[in-house]
Amino acid sequence: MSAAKKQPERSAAEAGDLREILDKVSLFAEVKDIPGASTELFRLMNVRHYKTGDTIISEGESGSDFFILADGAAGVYKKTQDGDLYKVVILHGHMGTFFGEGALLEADTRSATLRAESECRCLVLSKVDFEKFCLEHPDWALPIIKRVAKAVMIRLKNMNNDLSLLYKALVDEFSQR
Amino acid sequence: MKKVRLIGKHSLWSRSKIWVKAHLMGTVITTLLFAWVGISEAVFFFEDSAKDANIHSLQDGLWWGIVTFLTVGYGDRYPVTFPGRLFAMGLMVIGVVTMSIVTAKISTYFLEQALAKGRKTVDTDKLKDHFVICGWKDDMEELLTHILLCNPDMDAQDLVIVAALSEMHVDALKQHPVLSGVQMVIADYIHESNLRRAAPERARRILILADQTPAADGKLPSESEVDARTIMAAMTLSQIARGTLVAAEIYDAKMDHYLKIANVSEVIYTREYSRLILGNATSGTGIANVLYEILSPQTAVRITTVPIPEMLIGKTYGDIKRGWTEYFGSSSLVLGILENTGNSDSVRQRALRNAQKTPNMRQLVDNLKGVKSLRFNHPVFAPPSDYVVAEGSLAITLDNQVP
Repeated sequence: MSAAKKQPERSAAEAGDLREILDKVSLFAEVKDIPGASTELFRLMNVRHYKTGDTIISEGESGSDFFILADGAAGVYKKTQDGDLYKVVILHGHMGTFFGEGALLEADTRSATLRAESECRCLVLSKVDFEKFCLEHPDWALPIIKRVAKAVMIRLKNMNNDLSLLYKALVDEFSQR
Repeated sequence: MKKVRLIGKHSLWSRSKIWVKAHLMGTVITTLLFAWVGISEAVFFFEDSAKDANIHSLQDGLWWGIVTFLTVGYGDRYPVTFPGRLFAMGLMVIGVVTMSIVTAKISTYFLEQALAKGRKTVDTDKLKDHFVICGWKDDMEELLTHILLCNPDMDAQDLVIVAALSEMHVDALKQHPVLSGVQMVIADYIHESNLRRAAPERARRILILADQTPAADGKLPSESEVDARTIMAAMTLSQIARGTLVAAEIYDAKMDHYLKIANVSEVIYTREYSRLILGNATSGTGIANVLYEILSPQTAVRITTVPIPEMLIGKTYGDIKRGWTEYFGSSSLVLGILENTGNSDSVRQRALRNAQKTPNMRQLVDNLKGVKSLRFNHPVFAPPSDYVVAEGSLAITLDNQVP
């Protein structure tokens, strides 16, 4: 994250802009109408700027930050077994796109590389700050944690599906002579 | 075991005959030495005491012996007694016979050397980026000329034939005005050691012909025998020349499967083609003429495959069709795409790598299945315009090379 710059002072206009994005993030759907909650969350977040080509997170590395892509476009890349990098999808800001939500619960091994495809701004929430938030406002944190758990569950379910698919393919492969 | 016992039962004479056969050179030389020394000594023995004799020492005897044996016959020393002359006659006969055999051997050796130089066939170490042809055809000269016509960047020296050729065929090629430089490994291509002499691992391409040359006993091999030989050669080549493109001619299209296993990237069904063309001719479509025009190097029209410009890879067939004239001019017409070209080994590697480039497991499994049933050098004619041109494809074009 060497390319990231912390911006302690935010202009009022920028702050308003970013607050709106926070409201679009599905993880925070239940708390966005509680007056104090989103302000508090927003206060805990840092804004990071990335130039085109900067790596935001890289596959296989461990991280404990949760990211919201505020604006710009970021490409998701994965590596094959042979080490070839390929593009999975391009994420766009403004729509409440987030990634690395697992890191809010536990230091997360990143499952893909994210690279800025244009000038990018990200809202970053660290695990430490989120834990502080949970301790101070357990009633606000609960629905967020539920959402994160649900997202993790969905990922787990997909993984299980993939596993049975691979299992079947493997058996098929050996059943052919 | 049985053989050893058999020898054991035989007489001393036959056993010594076998021993002499095994140590022929040594036996002959030792015998001749003994003959020389023995006869010289005997002559000295009889002469020494005689009147008017001129052989008075063993040294004289040996000198006389070698001069006589080598058929030089100075005449400075000679036997005068009857027994001495008798021995001398024996040595003369032995000498004349031995000398003529030795002379013949030496001259044969030099003659063979000279002959081998005259039809020096292949220089394995110097072969590189050449074209190996396994097998022989009746119309080989025409075929070779045609190969050179189709590959303008190749010389006759770049062609290497591996076949058990007769002297007549070799001489005919050596005297050919264009093909005299063709290199030859005059040995059966079925054996790995013979194939290796053509340096297949450094070859640009290899062609295995359906070789129906009669065997030594004059019998024509059956078509399945010919196909089996082709397949065996292909399998050997897939081991010793992994990266090289191999094309093979085959009679029975059912054998095709084995050639795929042997990584043959192009299979030529000679028999099938002529049948198809004949069948087509009966319907009066005129296809036979069209095909001849397209394939013959004598005409200006030619069907070829050309590499697709890098920037068009990954684009659709529609894009290629639109951009084609821009790249290749209006005399080139793109007819379709030849998929998965090149050496089947590297094509499979490439396909395997590309198949993995998906995060979706279902897609991955489908992709991998696709790799398994990959069809090499698979032509797709006039695909829909949204067909995506993959890496490793060539464009099939019809070119009119009007000057």
